[in-house]
Amino acid sequence: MAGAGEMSRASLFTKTLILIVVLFGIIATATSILSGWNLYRNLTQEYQSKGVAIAKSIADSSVELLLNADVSTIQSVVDQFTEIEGVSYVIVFDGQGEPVSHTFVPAVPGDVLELQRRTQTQVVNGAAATNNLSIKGMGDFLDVALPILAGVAGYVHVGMDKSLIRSRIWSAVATQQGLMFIIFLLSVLVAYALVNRISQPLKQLAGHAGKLATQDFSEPETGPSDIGHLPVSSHDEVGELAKSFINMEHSLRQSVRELKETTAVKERIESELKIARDIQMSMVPKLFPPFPLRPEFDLYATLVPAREVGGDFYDFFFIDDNHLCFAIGDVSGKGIPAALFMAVTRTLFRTTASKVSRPEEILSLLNRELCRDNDSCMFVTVFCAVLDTRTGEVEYSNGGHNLPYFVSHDETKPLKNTGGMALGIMEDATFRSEKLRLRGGDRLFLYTDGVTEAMDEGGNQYSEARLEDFLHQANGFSVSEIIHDAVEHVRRHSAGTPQSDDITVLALKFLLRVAQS
Amino acid sequence: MSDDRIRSIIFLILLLFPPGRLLAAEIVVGMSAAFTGPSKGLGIELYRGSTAYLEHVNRTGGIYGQKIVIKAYDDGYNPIPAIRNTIKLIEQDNAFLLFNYVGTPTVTRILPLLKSYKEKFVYLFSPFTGAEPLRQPPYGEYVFNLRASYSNETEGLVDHFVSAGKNRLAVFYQADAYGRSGWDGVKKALGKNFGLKMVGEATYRRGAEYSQSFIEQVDVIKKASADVVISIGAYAVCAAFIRDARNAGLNIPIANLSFVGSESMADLIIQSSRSAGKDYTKDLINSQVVPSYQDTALPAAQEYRQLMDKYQPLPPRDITEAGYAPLPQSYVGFEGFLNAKLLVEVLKRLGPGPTKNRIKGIVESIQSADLGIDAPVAFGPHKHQGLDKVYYTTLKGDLFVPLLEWRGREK
Repeated sequence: MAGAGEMSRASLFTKTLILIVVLFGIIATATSILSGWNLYRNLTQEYQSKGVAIAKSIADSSVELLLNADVSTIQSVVDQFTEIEGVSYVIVFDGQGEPVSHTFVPAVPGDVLELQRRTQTQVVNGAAATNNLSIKGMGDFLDVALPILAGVAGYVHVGMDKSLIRSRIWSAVATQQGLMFIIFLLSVLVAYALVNRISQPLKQLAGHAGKLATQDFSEPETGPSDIGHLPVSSHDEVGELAKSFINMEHSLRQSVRELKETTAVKERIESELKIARDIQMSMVPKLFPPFPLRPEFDLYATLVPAREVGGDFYDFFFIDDNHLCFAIGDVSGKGIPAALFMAVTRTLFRTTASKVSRPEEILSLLNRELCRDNDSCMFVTVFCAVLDTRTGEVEYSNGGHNLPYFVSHDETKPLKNTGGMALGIMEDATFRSEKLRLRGGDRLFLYTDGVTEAMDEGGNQYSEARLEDFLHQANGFSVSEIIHDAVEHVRRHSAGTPQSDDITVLALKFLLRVAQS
Repeated sequence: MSDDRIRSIIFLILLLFPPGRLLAAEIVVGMSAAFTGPSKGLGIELYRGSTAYLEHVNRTGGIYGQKIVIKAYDDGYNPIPAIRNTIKLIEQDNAFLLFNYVGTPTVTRILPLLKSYKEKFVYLFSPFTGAEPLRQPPYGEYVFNLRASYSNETEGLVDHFVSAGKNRLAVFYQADAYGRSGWDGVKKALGKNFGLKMVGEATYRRGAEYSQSFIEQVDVIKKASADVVISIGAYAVCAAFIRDARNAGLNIPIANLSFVGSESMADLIIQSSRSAGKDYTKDLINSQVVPSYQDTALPAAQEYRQLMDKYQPLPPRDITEAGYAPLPQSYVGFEGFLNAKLLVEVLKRLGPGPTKNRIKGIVESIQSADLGIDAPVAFGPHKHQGLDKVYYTTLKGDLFVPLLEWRGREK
């Protein structure tokens, strides 16, 4: 972690350094060129005017001397001017263009004589002529030529040393660059300090962020945050970042705490729901075969509760020795209320069935009992039937429930509807009964809408049609096989989607062969 | 104002500004010359020659009881110190006149000072230079030259050389007023008398040393195919030029002017001849403005040699570099000696209590003064040069002796 921090600081500093170097390079080059050029222009101008002034002064004082042919004094005058800084040579020509006084050693260069020949035609009206003159072995000069007495008395040339201009420029540029370099060094130091100041908090932040991964947010904070000082010490983006970091941590801690609480509540509820489901499940008979001593029929049922506790139930019991009452029901809604209502219904159903024995009477009585004090306006669909084990005669009545299927070896069909409505809605609702006779091998298949309404991922319901097909194909299976296969079939259909409703199925197979009377 | 007070004021004035020079024990003459640097031999020998005679005069009663003292300053043969020294001599040392200045570039630069001090009647006597500006307007009137001019010397040299059949003359000269003066003399002599032009010229910078190389200049002269070189320079450089010319195979006659100080130059040439194992002494001609001090027929030469032996004057103390070996006698020293004789002559003519304002009139009235040489000294209102005779010498052995036979120089 520290290594990474060092690296990031190094690379930050390197980038800043490169930026500074580039910037300073540009500035140094630009200022050097600009000031060098300016200086060159100014110095050249200054030198030129200096040269002109000197040439004028020599020309003025030489008129008489030239006319008197007093070259010795001219030489004396000329010598004085070479003591002036920048003046490299002075040469005076007479009216015939012959050099009469000069300061050249060892001899007058041919370039100067050549220039004088040109100058004699070039200089008119007493104006000064300035030429750049490069003399082999001596250097570069700015030659200022001026006629004396309009050229009649002669000419004077003053050579200003250009190398002095150059050396002045170089020394000025060197001074400037020296200053630049000092500023550059200072900038690098400042940049280093600044980068350090930025990268140090970043490093702390990075370290802190790394620790967050291993931190237990469910635990309360132990002491102040190790980046708590950053928003105070750095009043910049880094400070802001640190502040956000601390806020995020707070929120994280809080939401983790809340999540923990919520989870606890949910877990409690879920455990309660599980208990409710256990209770619900315990209220339906689960011991199969239920009546091993009765060979007349075979019965199997199962209730596959949805994740949430639901309101399905089934039941079967003998009213007397020869009459088996069986039923299936589905309470509206889900959850605890449905479970409770189911429990009430199941209990009342048993009580009712002990008082009356015909299905329509059972449903009527049950309906009245349920309607009484039904403030929650819940209702339950119930299919109730009574089998006479001696004859195979089944009397049934339906209270709004899915009609069970009759399955024989040659046909599969829903039972004839008895037209009753769901229980718990209207106290005086009436129920009718129908009868049918089962023969040996005939079956009844009772189910709740959790079967037909089970949906696959595409939203397609399992549907009565699929159920009918299944039942048709399952002809000849035992009731337990039918139940297991039916549940499996439905599950396959709805594979990948959570089970939304209880799946409850009950199958009854009549085994007794009764002689047709 | 009481009489007492007036009397005491007059007394004070008399005390501070005594009338005439009666009260002064000395007559101070100011000298600025090269006592250091490559031309120090000139200043020192000139001073010593003058001192020999002044010592003699001072010891034999002085001038009307007043002793003559040379107040000497060193200018190293440079114009700016020469100007400074001159102002000091006039303002501070209250010199009666200026005397024995050395060099053209130095003296030409102090000439305007003489003019600006004309209210003080400052005159320069016998400067050691033959330059023209000292002899011409506008400054000629403040200078009294004893020696012949450079143009006298160069004209004589040119005349003799051309007459001897040498038409291709080249000039090697110092790049300053002195060199230019000689250069101009050669040029004019060639043009005016023979319609010739010099075939080549080379310069050197004043202050150059004997140890430097002058091969560049030798090359310039060589390229010009000259058959004579006239050098107008200081002795150290002229000796070096001779050395380099001979080393480069330039074996034509080389002439030098009086300003070189023949003995100083001869010393250097003989020294380098010895160390190089070569003979550099051939074909050297020096023009002189004073006769040979070895000519015992001249009373002044006898007197000079006698007084030099007697007093063996020292170089001025404090301003001279150590390590200079004074010459027993020399042309420069003899010139200094003659300068002093002229000075004494002038002071004598000024009478007791000399005043500056009378100097000009007195000197210009000298028609014919005998300094003990083969020519009389004469001045006039438009003649501020006492002598104009030029003497030609050649190096024989270690001495410059009178040159008698110009044809003998021809091959």
